[in-house]
Amino acid sequence: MKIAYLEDDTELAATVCDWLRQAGHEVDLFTSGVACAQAVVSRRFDACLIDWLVPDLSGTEVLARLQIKLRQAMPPVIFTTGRDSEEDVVAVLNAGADDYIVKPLSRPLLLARLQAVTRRQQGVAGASLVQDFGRLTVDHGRRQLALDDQLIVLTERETDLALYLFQNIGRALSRKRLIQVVWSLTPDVDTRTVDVHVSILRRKLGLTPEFGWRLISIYGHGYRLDREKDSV
Amino acid sequence: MPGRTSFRTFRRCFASEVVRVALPLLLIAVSISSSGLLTRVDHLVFDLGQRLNWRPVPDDVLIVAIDEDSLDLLGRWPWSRDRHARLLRTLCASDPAVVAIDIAFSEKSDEPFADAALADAIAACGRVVLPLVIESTRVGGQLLETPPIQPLAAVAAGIGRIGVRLDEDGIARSVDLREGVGTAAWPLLAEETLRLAGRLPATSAGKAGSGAAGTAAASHLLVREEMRRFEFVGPPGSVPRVSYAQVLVGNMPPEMFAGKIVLVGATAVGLGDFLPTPVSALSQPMPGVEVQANVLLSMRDGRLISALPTLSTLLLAALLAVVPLLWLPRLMPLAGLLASSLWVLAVGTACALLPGLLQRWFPPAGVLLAGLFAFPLWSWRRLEAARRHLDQELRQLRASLPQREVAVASPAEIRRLGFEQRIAWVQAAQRTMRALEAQRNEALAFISHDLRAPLAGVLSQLESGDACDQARLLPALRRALGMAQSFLWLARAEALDRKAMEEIELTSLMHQAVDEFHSLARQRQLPLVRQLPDEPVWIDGDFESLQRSVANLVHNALHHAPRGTAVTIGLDCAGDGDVELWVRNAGPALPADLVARLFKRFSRGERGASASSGTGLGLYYVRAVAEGHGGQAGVECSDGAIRFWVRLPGADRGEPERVP
Repeated sequence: MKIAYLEDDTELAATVCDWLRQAGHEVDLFTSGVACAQAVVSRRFDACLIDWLVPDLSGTEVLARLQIKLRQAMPPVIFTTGRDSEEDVVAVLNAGADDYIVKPLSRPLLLARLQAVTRRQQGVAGASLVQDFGRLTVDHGRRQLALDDQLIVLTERETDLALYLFQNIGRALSRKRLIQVVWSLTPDVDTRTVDVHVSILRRKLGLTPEFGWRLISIYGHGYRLDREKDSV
Repeated sequence: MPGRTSFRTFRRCFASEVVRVALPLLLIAVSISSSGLLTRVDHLVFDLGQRLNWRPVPDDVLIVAIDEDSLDLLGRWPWSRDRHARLLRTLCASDPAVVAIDIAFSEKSDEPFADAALADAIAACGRVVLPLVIESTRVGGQLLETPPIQPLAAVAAGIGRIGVRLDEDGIARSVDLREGVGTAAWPLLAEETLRLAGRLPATSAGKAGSGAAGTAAASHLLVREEMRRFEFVGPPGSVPRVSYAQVLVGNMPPEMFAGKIVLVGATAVGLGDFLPTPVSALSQPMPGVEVQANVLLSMRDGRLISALPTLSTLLLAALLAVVPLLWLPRLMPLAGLLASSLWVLAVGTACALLPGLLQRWFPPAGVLLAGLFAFPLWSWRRLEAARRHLDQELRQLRASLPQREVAVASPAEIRRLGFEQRIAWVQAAQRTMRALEAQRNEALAFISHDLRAPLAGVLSQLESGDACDQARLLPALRRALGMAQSFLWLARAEALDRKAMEEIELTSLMHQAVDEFHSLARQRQLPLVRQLPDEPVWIDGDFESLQRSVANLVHNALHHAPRGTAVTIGLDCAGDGDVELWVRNAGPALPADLVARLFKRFSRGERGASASSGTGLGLYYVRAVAEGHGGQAGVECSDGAIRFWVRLPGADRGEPERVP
């Protein structure tokens, strides 16, 4: 996988480049936002890892340039930020980034996030129609979910939401995006509706650490479904 | 150039302030001057000027007074006209300039021979002026000119009016140069007398003819022209008098009357011909004949006082009214007060002296009132400006202070506050300042001690040069980082703004906070039990700080719960819309003094003393967040369980519509 990495802290950049190369990725390091944006526009990258604060352009400005130039062909973008306050993270997600990681970076988290955002790029549907998570089985073809081999009764929207969450394990999904995808045919959906459905899924599917899941609310602006690492 | 711009703004505000004060002053001055509401003040100033302006006693005017002595000697009034004829002969023998008689001979007497004798005497003298009275008839109020009876009028050298104008306050200050019924035809007795004596100033003589040209349109109305105020040479009795009786019996030296203007009239109190004047106190009014003498003297000396025309009066009043604004904006309040008082005094004095010096009269009441109002008006505007400035400062002060319980007020809101309330606000702001100061000191102490200690420890280990054990260094470093982090979070929690809060879903927030401790709980063999409602619970809040609060409480509970007991996390919705989230663990009841200290800043009782747990900020953070949301935090111990709770106000919006 080819990754564009924008970071002006050279020591940190060296460490992260090592991690990525050891994991078998190809890394191009940029210390200037302008150079990074130009490179990503002209060459093909599978993913971008962008620091929030670089001297010439801010990370969001780089993102905005990419969106204008590349549109649909844009690679997934992950932000790294030293500022973990809610408004920063929400701003990043609203600007169209796929995910964010709060510094200090941890190697497994970084790799997992990269994998999560690029998985969709390669296409989920082709990968597997049935996902087996031990106790929980998700059949995308039949649109069925089973817990301990018992089919779970869900409404249409709940099923849509559940399938979409399981397609995007490890990815940050804003409520806006969930509404676009799951409630695309229903106009004027309250964001509360999303909360209601997520709450139902958490209960019906047992999406808790005890069952190996974490359903995370991102500052109330979106959700992320994660596997609990030590439970498996 | 911000400096110049603000200066310009200031100039503009300032100019508008001046205009705002000038307009009411103009209004006061002009309305008072034109309406005559305060004419009495004008009179007061005029009378004062008269008293300040005595002139030398004239030596060429003499009054032959029908006084008490004369009445005693000659018997009661009215006297036979024969007696007047004798007096005239005596007077004329000593060659006076003119003899003016202030006695009305408007009806024939009972003695025809006496009337004839008087006519003879007048004709023989040839220099006698007789009076004419304009009076209203008893019935119907029709005005009549009553000249002397025909035989007398025919031989008189001149006939003049003895009428005097009485002002609103009943005091005689002015005369009309021309007056008459239908046309203003009749000159004053004084003017006729002077004309005969050849002592009429040229200016008055020129005008004398003009009066006859008056319109005859309203033939029954009184027409008055050329009103003039006259001066008084002094209080009653200032004009020299001789007694009628003494003259009649020939006790006077003949040369006494030579070349003089002689006025004959009544001064005895019993005869009732008296007028109140500016120079006479009420107890001592002036005889009519002396008033005539004063008119005559004023006219002779060219000292009749004419009032300014109406337009000039109003313009001058308007101009003078705004004069105080020349200095008020430049002076401090005390100096401004003094200057304004001096101005009022000066205007009053100048207007009082003006008639005596220039024979002009300007009624100053409007200007005086405007002068009195100038200082209060200007001070009012100044206070208003000061109040606005202070309000603005107060607002900024409140805006800059983290007083979350009271929102920053709008200017209108401040305007409604009473004086004491504003003071209370300032005091509250001061209290907050002091509290902030104390917090800052605490924070400094915290940083200098708690944060430094682990770092210094690690540093000394590293500097010792020995191969150090990573495992021994890491906990201290982690602790320092954790402290710095929680300190940062706390700063953020203390600055929570309720207005910026959004609707968040509380159960998923709590699930998530509990999820974080899954592995720690498993490690410690403490089951985490969730008593969370199935339905979502929405409140207006700050997601991050609330989640961290719940995490702090769960973290606390996991550290203090005895091994093998459950830690329960719950969320209850109270009937009134408030929600209460709580974390409960088994444990002995906490001592009361510790409970009191628990939620304080940097409190680290026995409870927090265990090695890795905290900074002493955890529970204070919970409290700060709860209060930042308009809620409360607390702890209760019962039945071997300790329960920490946070109560938050619920969102005011209703349930969402169910969407399939």
